[in-house]
Amino acid sequence: MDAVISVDGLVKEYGKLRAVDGISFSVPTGKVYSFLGPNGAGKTTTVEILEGLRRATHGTLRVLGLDPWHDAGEVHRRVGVMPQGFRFFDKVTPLEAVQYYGRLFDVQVDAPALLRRVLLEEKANDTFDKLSGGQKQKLGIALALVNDPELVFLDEPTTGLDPQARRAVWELLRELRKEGRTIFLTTHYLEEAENLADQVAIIHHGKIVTEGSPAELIAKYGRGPRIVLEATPELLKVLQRVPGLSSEVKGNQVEVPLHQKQVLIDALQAIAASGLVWPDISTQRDTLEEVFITLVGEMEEGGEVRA
Amino acid sequence: MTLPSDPSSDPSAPSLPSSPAHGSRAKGAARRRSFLRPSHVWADFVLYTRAYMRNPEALFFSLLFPVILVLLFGAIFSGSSAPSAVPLYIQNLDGQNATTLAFYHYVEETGLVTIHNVSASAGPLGTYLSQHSESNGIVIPAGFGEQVWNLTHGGRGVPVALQFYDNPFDSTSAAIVSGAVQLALQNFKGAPVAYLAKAVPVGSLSFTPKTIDFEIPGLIGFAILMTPMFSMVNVTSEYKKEKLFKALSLTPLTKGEWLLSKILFNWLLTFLAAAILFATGILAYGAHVIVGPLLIPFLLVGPLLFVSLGMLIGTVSKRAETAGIIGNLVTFPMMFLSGSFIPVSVMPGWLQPYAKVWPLYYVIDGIESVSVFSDVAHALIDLGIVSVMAAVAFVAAVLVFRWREE
Ligand SMILES: Nc1ncnc2c1ncn2[C@@H]1O[C@H](COP(=O)(O)OP(=O)(O)OP(=O)(O)O)[C@@H](O)[C@H]1O
Ligand SMILES: [Mg+2]
Repeated sequence: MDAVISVDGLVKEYGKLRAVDGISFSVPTGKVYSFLGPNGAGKTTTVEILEGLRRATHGTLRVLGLDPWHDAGEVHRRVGVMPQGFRFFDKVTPLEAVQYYGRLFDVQVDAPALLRRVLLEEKANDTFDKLSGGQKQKLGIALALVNDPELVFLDEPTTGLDPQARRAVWELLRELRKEGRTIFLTTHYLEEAENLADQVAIIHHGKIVTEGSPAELIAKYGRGPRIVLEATPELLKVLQRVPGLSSEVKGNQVEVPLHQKQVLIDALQAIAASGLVWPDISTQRDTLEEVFITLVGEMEEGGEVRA
Repeated sequence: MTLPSDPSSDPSAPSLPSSPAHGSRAKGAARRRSFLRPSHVWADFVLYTRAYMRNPEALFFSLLFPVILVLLFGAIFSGSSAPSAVPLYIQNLDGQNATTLAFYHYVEETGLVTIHNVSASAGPLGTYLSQHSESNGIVIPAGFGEQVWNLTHGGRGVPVALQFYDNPFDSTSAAIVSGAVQLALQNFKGAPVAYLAKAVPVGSLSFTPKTIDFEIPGLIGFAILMTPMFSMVNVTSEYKKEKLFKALSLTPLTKGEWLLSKILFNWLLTFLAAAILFATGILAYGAHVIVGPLLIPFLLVGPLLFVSLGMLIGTVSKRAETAGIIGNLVTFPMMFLSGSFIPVSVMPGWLQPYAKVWPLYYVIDGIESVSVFSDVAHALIDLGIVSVMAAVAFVAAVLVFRWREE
């Protein structure tokens, strides 16, 4: 079995609203698959259908070869889930929570070790209502791992975490992947998807806009590495005379793709020849963030995404 | 309470989180589809109980508050053997004579009843009582005074029958009336002079019930109602709001296991509350209550009924706030009208029929039948009524309650 999850033509309607509008994708075993999309795009809805928490309106789907709604029991034994905005019983401590899940899943679990793994050991004996937002999320991640799952769903696991904790979670996810687990990750953080995901799907208004590895998406929709010059008006006049460069002027920023080597050399020589003060020079390359903003922006304007 | 030793905190247990995936999973499939696993029920029960014990307000409300009420009522009524007086309607067909006046006086002296006179011209007493929604009445027949005088002065004759009207569904007040009349008749020395023609099956009430005796069943009823109702309304609506049911549905815990654990917990609390209430009443005020085995079914079925009702309210309400309001709207009238604090028998007659629409009335009436009057037959009727109500509520709650949304 190659794909841990396979989805074909999935539709979910809440009354009149089509929250998920005919999406198809598959998640290969042992990879990190990430859903990226703005608020209300349909990420959580899709994930909850995959987890067997909601029923699909149309479409076929398989999770670990099972139908998650009808075989929910078996699916739940084999997957780990951290829901968006995870909450637990107020007066229960993380240690008790992990032990409780251990009993329910009927597995031996080293609760302190698991809590150490998610950096929550100092708060192991504080009740849930006393934990900070980020600490609560960490417990959510810990509980998703109690049953030693082969597939882990994490719905915005790092939202609300401080940068250090976020990086620690990334590290944990990398380890989980190394252990052979498949990870389904939804996130708003482009950097997170870029850093962790093998495969990214950008989802908007219930549709998959595009899909691919972060590098592929950047190559396809982004602009490559370039040199950016912060030009004064006088310098702009000089640069506008450089052949092949005029179209690259944006406000007082002049961008020259690195691969246009001749244009770049001509521009630099023109600046030197003009005797003007040297401008600030920096290099830039698009990240998933620019790709995301471009694609979602195009969708918002009603246009189709360029293929 | 003692908790089982925890196998998962054993340091020698294999450390699962860092073990490679697909490790220790094989056992799952073998035992899927079993609906109620004791280990799941126990795990959830332990977790919930621990969490509850960490909630001082809830604990106070469930266990300490009823005790404070017993102490309060006990302090108010202690010493006085006069319970709440039951209204008693007497229709005197014998006119004013020394004997009837003495009888009135003796009955009044017991302090158990308040006498209301019904004139001889008012027609049959039974009709009068039902027209006025009253339960208890006695008819003094013509010739009563003369016959009693004969009997107490060595004359011949048979004891006079006093026609007694009662409400078969309110054994409490009937027993009080019967007790009051029996006590009053003891004042006529010599031969037995009269008897109640329609004696209620109260055994022979060899003691005069005190107010505190009635307060204890009432307050046990209060405990049976309050903790299950409030905790379940709260739990079901909050869990729904906080998506905790969703989280639980992602584990192998089933809906049935979860529900059973909540019922067990409420049984535990109810038994504790009842034990504390009995102990406080008996030790502090010498309450005359019988802790009979027939109490156990009431302490089981009662909480089951209110757990189901609370769950039903929490489940059907769209929002947690609404659930709380509906819960209060049901709970508070039920609490006051069913005789938690004031025995139904001393409520104004027009109010009494409204007591009998609340399930709690039958719980309290039943406990009273067991522990004050030892009236098994009556208790069994109440138990039957409560059981049917509990069964209906339970089935409805289970049908309405969903782990997952569609
Ligand atoms: N239970 C529900 N009933 C009705 N509509 C719903 C329900 N849950 C979600 N929706 C709607 O479905 C759409 C998709 O919601 P969903 O939660 O899947 O978005 P999301 O991509 O996870 O957003 P976010 O990034 O904010 O978490 C939204 O328009 C939302 O309002
Ligand atoms: Mg979401």
